[in-house]
Amino acid sequence: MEDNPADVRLTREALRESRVPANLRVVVDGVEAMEFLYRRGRYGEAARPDLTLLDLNLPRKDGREVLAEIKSDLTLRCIPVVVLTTSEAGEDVFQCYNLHANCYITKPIDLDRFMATMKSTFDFWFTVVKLPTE
Amino acid sequence: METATASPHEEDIRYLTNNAGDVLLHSDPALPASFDAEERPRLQEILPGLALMFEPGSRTQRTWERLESQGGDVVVSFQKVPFDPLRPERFLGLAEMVYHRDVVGEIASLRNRILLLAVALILGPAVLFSLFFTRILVRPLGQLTRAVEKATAGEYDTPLPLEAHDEMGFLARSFQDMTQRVKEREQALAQQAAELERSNQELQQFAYVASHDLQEPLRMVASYTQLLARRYQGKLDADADEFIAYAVDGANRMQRLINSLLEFSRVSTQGREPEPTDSAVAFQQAVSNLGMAMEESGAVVTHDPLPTVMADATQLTQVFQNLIGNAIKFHGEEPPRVHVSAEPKDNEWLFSVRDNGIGIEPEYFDRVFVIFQRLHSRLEYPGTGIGLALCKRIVERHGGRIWVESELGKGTTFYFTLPAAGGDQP
Repeated sequence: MEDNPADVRLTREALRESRVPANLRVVVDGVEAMEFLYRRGRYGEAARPDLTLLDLNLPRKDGREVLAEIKSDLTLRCIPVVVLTTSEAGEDVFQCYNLHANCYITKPIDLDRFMATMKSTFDFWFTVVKLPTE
Repeated sequence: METATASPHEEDIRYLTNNAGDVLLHSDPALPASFDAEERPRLQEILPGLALMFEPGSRTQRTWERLESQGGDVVVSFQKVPFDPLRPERFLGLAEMVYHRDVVGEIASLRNRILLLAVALILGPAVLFSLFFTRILVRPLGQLTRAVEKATAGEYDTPLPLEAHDEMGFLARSFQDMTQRVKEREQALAQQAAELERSNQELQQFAYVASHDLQEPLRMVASYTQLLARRYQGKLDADADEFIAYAVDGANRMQRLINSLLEFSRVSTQGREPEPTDSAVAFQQAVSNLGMAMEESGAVVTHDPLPTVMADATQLTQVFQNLIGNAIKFHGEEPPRVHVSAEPKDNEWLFSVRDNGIGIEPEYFDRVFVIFQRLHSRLEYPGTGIGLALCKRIVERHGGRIWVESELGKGTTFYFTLPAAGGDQP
């Protein structure tokens, strides 16, 4: 869930470099994000995600609202949410964990470190962790 | 006690007697108005002091005497009025008597009146003169004094004796000119302060923009140039490699500058209130943060006992880290040796960070503290030129000063002061 295509592409590159077999689906605002998760409208056929990467600054519906909605919905709240943002504000970190975010990652500015961080994130969630099945 | 002025003034008492002293007529309230022949009193009985006047053969025609009487001392004038030229021993006695106290009263009141007059004569001109003096000198002087007092308190509109034509007027006009200039200067200063405040806020605003809005696109530029470099290094021609290298370098440098600027602006926005802080702990933290640089250079960092000061511990660590880090970075041919010490000065502590490094030329002593000012190329010594500016901002935020003394090729000592903690007076 990210509105900046350049960021999406970087994440895609990181996913490719980490060699984790995962499909990346992108939604560009908060409203679409909820439609995707509820499989409404044009997302009627969408698969339920194993993991969501959530940017906090989304158009239409803010990332924090999306997080709050996911975590208060009985059918959605077991989907792990990785908050992936540029914000380093302690307030944001606290608020996200308070809304039951599964982890909070500040995107490193340096490309190498960004790649390394994304790789370890993907490694963790797709190889170390056991995810719930529907 | 009866006093002259207090006693009521009575009418003079007069007596008319014959040559034997028998009172014929009188105005004495103590005596009956008229007498039977047998009871007629003699004046010498009333005023024994006059007895001599009635002695047969007495030739004294008149007398003026102070005598005792039953009612108190009296002053009597007595005159014989002969009526038979052939028998001068026959006369009418005319006595006039006043009580002494009445005379004294009279005299006292006269004296008082004279005194009053004298006082009026003497004081009158003095009062007039002092009025004149007040008008000419004292009041203008008072005005001027008040004006000076108010002016010291920053109030410049007190009335002044400007119309005076003497030195006072001149003084007043000069003073007014002066306050006018001070006023103008103060207004200019206030304006500058307001502008400074505004530009300071603009800098904070810029820092915010830099952190939230500039960072994001810059991250993209930097990331994609890095990605380009990573994927296509050596796959295009040599020019392309060079161009990509410059682009990567530029983007990285800009990121560091923006981060430095952010760090710089955070000194005031995220600084905590100074509290008693053990500078030895801050020093140890700084040294441990510098671990890698110290290992690489083989630096030896020593210190004297360090005091407790009023400081934001994180910022004090930053100051030590920057100064010691610089001392290590700008080392000479010998392995860097850095010594930190502190000595008490009045209510503050004077810290010094001394090294044996390359030194700084005196002409750059001020410039090293200016943000982004560097004395060396980035190839010689890396860095954005933020460290000392940051130290200056931190030290000044704590109410201290920072300066440098150095000898080229011998070494450099940075000095800074910090207020002593209340319980640890130097």
